[in-house]
Amino acid sequence: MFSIEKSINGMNEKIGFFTSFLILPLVLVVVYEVVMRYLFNAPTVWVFEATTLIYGIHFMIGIAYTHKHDGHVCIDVFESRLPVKPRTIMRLIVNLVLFMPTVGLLSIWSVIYAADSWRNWEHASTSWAPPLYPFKTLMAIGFILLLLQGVAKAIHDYHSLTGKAQ
Amino acid sequence: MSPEILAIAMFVFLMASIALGYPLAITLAGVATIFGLIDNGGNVPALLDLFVNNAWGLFQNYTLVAIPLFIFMAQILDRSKVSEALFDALYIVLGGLRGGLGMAVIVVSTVFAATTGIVGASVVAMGLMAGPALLRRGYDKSLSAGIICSSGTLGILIPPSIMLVVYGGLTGMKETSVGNLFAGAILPGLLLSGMYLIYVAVRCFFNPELGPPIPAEERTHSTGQKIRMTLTSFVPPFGLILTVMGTILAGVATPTEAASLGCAGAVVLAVVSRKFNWQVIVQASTATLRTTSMIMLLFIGGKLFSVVFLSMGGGDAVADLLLGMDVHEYVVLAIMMAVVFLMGMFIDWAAILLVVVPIFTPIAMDLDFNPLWFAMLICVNLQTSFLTPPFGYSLFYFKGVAPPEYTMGHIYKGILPFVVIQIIGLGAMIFFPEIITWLPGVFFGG
Amino acid sequence: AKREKFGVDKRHVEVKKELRKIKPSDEKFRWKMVMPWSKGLLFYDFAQHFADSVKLASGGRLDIKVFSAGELVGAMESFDAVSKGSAQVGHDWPGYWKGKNENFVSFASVPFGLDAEGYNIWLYERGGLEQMQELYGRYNLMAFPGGNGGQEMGLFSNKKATSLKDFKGMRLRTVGWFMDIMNQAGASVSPLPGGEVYLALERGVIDAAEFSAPAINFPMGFDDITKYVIEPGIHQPSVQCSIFFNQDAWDSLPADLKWIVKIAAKETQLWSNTWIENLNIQAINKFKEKVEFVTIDDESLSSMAQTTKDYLDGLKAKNPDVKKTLDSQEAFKQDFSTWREQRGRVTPWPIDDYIKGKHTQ
Ligand code: NA
Ligand code: NA
Repeated sequence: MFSIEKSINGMNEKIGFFTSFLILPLVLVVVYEVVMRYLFNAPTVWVFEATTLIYGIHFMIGIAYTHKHDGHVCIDVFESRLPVKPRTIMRLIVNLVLFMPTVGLLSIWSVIYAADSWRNWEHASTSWAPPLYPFKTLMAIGFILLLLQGVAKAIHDYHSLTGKAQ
Repeated sequence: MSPEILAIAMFVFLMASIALGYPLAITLAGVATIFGLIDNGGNVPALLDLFVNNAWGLFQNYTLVAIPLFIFMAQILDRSKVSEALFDALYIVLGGLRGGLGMAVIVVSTVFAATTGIVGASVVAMGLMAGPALLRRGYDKSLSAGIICSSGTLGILIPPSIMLVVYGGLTGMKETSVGNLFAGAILPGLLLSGMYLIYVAVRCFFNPELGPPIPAEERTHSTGQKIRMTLTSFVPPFGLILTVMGTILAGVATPTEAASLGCAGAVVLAVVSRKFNWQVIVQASTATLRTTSMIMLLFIGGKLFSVVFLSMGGGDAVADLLLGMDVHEYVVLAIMMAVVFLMGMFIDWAAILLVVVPIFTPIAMDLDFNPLWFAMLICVNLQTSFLTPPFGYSLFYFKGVAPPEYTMGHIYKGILPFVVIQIIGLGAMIFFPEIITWLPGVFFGG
Repeated sequence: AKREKFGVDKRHVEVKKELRKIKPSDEKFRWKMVMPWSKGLLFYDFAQHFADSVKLASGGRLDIKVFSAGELVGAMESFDAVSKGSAQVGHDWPGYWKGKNENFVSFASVPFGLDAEGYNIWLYERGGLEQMQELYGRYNLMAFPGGNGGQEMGLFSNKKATSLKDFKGMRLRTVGWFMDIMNQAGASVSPLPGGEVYLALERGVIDAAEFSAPAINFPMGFDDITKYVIEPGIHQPSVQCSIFFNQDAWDSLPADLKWIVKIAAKETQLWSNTWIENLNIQAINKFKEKVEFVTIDDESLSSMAQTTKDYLDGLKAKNPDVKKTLDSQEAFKQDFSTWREQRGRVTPWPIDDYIKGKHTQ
């Protein structure tokens, strides 16, 4: 079980690290559009969509990475007053009862959503008309990575309860 | 169960779940799932298709592209020490005053607000920078949390602002075009900033323990030095304001594009100040990703929650109540403002805009209210929603980056006086509409 | 030869059969309707009008609750939401689903294509509806025409352009097929989202933009920030909307409610056009006070039509559905042309203008 936790953590850390650099092409592409339009009077047909798609991949893949770093905000007013052990138990229960079913369902249906897009060979309804199936697939991957990170956290909490945490 | 009762039950259940201390976005999504299934008779596929559909809508939302861009800009700006230089200069100039450091934070945040379009970026930046500084100087934790959260929230009111862009797109009226909204928001933003300053000055004057001045022996700078430091430290941020607001007003760029130019500008500033290297890129990029994903998962959770709430008829319950009354127009206005305020305690601004603007705008038109004035009242109210517990997103952003000494308790306690200031400011704008309407008149002739 | 009555109302034949199927029931339906429209747009009123008609005619048995864009699903997600059954009903401008099949645009607006009258005749009498239902049917949807907004306005512009060469290098905002066509005509076209148009136009990011019909454009205030309107609206001779149902939901309706829906959809198609054209009259007069209307010259119109034809031929070669539908519309235009020609010179101009010789449309 340690190895599962470790490999999920390692994977999300790496994926998140590389995904974070998508911000650079995002900036460049938008600046490029302004330069092309303003200086060369030649706006592109693709930048508007390209930016939203890059941004979509950026935050979606980053959700699991953020969860790994405990970056998702929570209201810890009451919870932070509990001692460590009941707090861990509560976190584990909420993880299993709320997180797993919700994110699990989102993962399953986003896979179905992506599969439909592949089946219909779906393209955007615009002049540039980029294919949408790769991006819907990446959205599904984002939810699945988040689900896996939840699994890693559950394993971690379970071990810390049984006293075997690293 | 009737839809209204179900909608109320949904809120109560949400409150209870939130106390569990689990990530808020997940809690919102979880509660939305449970109540969505109760409402639609357990039809899992129908609900989940709706959810995934909405997530995809956020995946390709052009307006929100400005979020990572403005955050990245703030991150680079932070590492280029531009804000720090500004902060340091004001620290020395104002530090001798009681509460002077706190006032410096407010001034920096106000300047910063004019370069960023969202709350996350300003609060995060000031939380990282000013949080530890205030702590070191012995500032009261509640007061300093209140100062950072409230003044950091100005980022979404003072243009450029994503909220104003969304509002303009939503109404499609010329009175509330993005240009008019930008112009209309400048004075209200400055008014609120001024009120924060006065509050901090007065509180600390009578109770210096809250915000102690710099000890006399550390005040070694001459007046000339102070003036020079202030001037030089103000140049880079004003260059950036010119890049962002200037390109919008000069017709070079749309607001999202201006955000990107702002990033480029921030990089230039970092290069000039010899603070730009691979390490800075790595840190700024990963920090941007964490903050963006945090905000966007909140967007997803909040969206799923509001979808289920609206789908149950919660929005109609509000409209029916308001339209059923026969009272003075200012009473209706007060009720509408109270509704936005109360919703702001729970729901995120984008969801409120989506729900409230279409319902309230026709009512406001019936009552012959000035559309721009009414729009700005809602926007000031929504800015306040970032501060009001239990869900003040600004408070969470701050908690996310502040030193661990700041507990949620400090933050909640510290923010209350500022919420009162917001309400007073809102009242001023209601009774002196010129605060809102004068500047757009100057820029655009009304 | 003996001449028989020159037409049959095909529905009349079905009435007896249908009546046997209809068993009035008390069963109530509370359905959700999604769309790409925010509440300020008149298209939202099309959808609301349809929902109201159905509710009134069914005595509240079929209660369709209308959700504006973003309330339940994002503007561009309403098609999928209804297809999957997250909502039972949708309203749209079919061109938005171009990415699923290019042919959806044929049922929405075609540059130099059908006007409102043309869509009505082609859809209801010339097999257009069947083609439309076949296309939507592939996505588990049952569709009906759901409102026509008439001709859209041309470009609000800060540059005067009346001939093809004036458009060269102009920065325009438009969407869909017309975007490609104008690009081929030498303009630089951006597909700016609707909410960005005003600011971009005001600040000179773009020189000109089309948005919609006069009454829909009026609240946007484009006339405050531009000098000219370049007419006519060749990009959309009319804007045809549709109403679509999730197929499973549709199948679950009793026969009488199905008829109520069909009749209400047709009533919406009629009402929308009369309502919006009357509003257009008022809007265009107000625009005239603020901006100068200019007209693209005949030679340039011909040339743009040629560019459009070449572009559409290219699409037809790639997509057999587009070929089938556009050919059927073109065949209708061809058939109609004799009658259009013959009746053409009786035009409802004010009588004094007509007396002075203003005879053609
Ligand atoms: Na701002
Ligand atoms: Na709040």
